[in-house]
Formats: sequence, structure tokens, C-alpha cells
Amino acid sequence: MMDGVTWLAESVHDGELCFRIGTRGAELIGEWPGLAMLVAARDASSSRLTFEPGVDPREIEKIRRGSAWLLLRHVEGRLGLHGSAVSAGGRAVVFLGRSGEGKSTFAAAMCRRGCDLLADDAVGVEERGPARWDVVPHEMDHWLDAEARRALGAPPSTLEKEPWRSARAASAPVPLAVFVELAFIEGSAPRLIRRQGSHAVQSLIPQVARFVLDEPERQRRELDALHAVIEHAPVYLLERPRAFEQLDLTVDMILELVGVSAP
Amino acid sequence: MPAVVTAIEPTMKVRISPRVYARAFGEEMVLLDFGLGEYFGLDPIGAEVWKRLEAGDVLLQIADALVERYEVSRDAALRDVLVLVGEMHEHGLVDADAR
Repeated sequence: MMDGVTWLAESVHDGELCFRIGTRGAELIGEWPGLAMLVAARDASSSRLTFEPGVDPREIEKIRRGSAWLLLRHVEGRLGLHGSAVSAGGRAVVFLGRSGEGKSTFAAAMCRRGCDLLADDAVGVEERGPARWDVVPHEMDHWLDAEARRALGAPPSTLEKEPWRSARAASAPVPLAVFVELAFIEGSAPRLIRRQGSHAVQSLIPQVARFVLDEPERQRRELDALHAVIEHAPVYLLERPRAFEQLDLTVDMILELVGVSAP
Repeated sequence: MPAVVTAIEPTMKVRISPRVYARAFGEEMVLLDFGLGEYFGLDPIGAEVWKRLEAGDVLLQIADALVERYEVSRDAALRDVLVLVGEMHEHGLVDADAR
């Protein structure tokens, strides 16, 4: 329980509070109830991430490398997205989409076909100069549920989701090539749809990780950054049925999109 | 005290809310509401309406501009402008004064 915190936003899953953001004076507060607390100075000069006693070390690693890392990037004024990413032939493909749309599974399936993992859950995008944006390598594990593990040949798990060390992880930043929003749709063949204009930015906006919610100038810079990154990398929507047997087919579509020969 | 505006009418003076930042994405536009932290998308016609609101055009002028550019009657254009600006007003993206 924290005194003096003004809570500004929260995330609820299945009726249970999983995360909330607030402020306490000049501090920014992020809380994963029962798991962890992140306190950061608004000017990014300091931060501390603390965990409740007894939290599973795998959960600690996931928060540290995932959500907490994204939140601190936002404080530092850098772009971070909830999503997964792989390097395909030296070109970064970022997968976006709502929770449960298969971002981790798709990245793992791409890695099974010769791509290198850049991110499973937290994507860092860096502007490296004129017309150059990179995705930084950050995570080395695929977090998959039991069904996905079975379909991809990973060892079975006992938890709802469990990490599986990627056989292929990138070790250096990779130039950003394309964003792909993933969505399940029943009753039709997989298809790729180019999203442009405001539709393209609307694919990205829900995935942007934000810790500072009350600074207009920061929001303005964020929208400008999204404009710049979308000018650089096209955005596609991949609609496909929820069927593991079609996973290879959809991976082929993405490899073809980035000009990589399917192994 | 200014009158409370419940519906947008052609003669009203409509102003962009100072808490909104607009950014063009191709021919379309994304509006960022700083106050709510919410984003709104406008298609090319909506973007044109927004640019004309920014320029200070009144709604009748905007409808006339749409009639010149698109194959649409003045009544239909004005109706569409009123609906769109009414939605913008409901979301607090524009302020309107009754005259």
C-alpha cells in the first residue's frame, strides 16, 4: 500500500488489477500489485525497481526486461513498444497487436525458420540518424503458453506461460524494416493488408509504452516520433485464422514481405 | 456566462481546442488530445475540414469548399460537416460559441 500516490491509469485483466501508474510529487510510480514496484524520477535521473518477497525469479526477469524497461525508456524520451521483434536477414520485423493475438508465438515461429530474436515482449526502437531506425536486441526468451510450446516443439510447461530460451538471439541493433500488426480472424485465408495514414499510426499508438501521462510536450514529441518512424517503415495488418497448422504459411508471407528466401 | 452549446449549427463560431495537437499522416490526420491522452483519426475529408477550422473558416464556408472539390450537394456537404464537427465537439476537440 502506498500513501500519497495519485493513480492515473490502470490495467485490469479478467477483473483483476495487474498494473497501475501514478505520481507522488515529482516521482513516477508503477505498480504490479503483489509483484513489484517501480519508482522513477521524472527527469530520469534515478529509478528503483523492487520486488515483493517470494516472487518467481522468472517473473522478476520478465518484468525487469519487459514492462519496467519500456517504462524507463519512456521517461528517457525514447520509443518503446509492447510487441515482439525478430531480425530476418538483417532486417527487423516488429510484431504488434493486442494481448492474445500471438506476438510471442509468431516471433518464435520466425526464429524456428532462421530469424534471430530481438524482443519477445518489449521492443526498443532507436533513431540512429536520417532515415535510419534500429530495433535494439533486448530479450532472449520466448514466453509461450502450453499450446504454442507444443506446436513449436518446446518442452512442456507447468505454468500458464513459461520462458523458453531462444536458439537464435540477435546481439546487435538491426535496421527497422516493417511493422506487422497481428490479428486473428476466422473463416478466411491469411492476408496482409497495408495500413497507411492515420490507420498506420493507430496500429502503433495502443502499443506505445508510457510512464509519463501528464506532460503534453512529451505526448507531442511521441506523435512526431511515430510520424517519423512510419514514414520510414511500412505498417501491415496480418489477418489469419487461429490455427497453428497455418503458422508456416504466414511466416512465409512475412519472409517474402521483407525479401528473405524461406529456408 | 456563455450559452451551453448542445448542437452545432452552421452559424456557430467553432475554434480548435488549445489542448489538441494535430499531425498530418499523408492526406489523413491524427489528433492528440493532451487533456485525455487520447488520439483521434481523420480521413482525408475530415482532415480538410480540420485544416479549414484551423484557418478560421466558418462551417458554411467549409461546406462550400467541399462542394467545389467533391461531387456533393451543398445540403449534403453541410450536413456532413455539422455531423463531423458535432462529434469533434462531443469529444472536446473543438469549442463552439452560440451566436
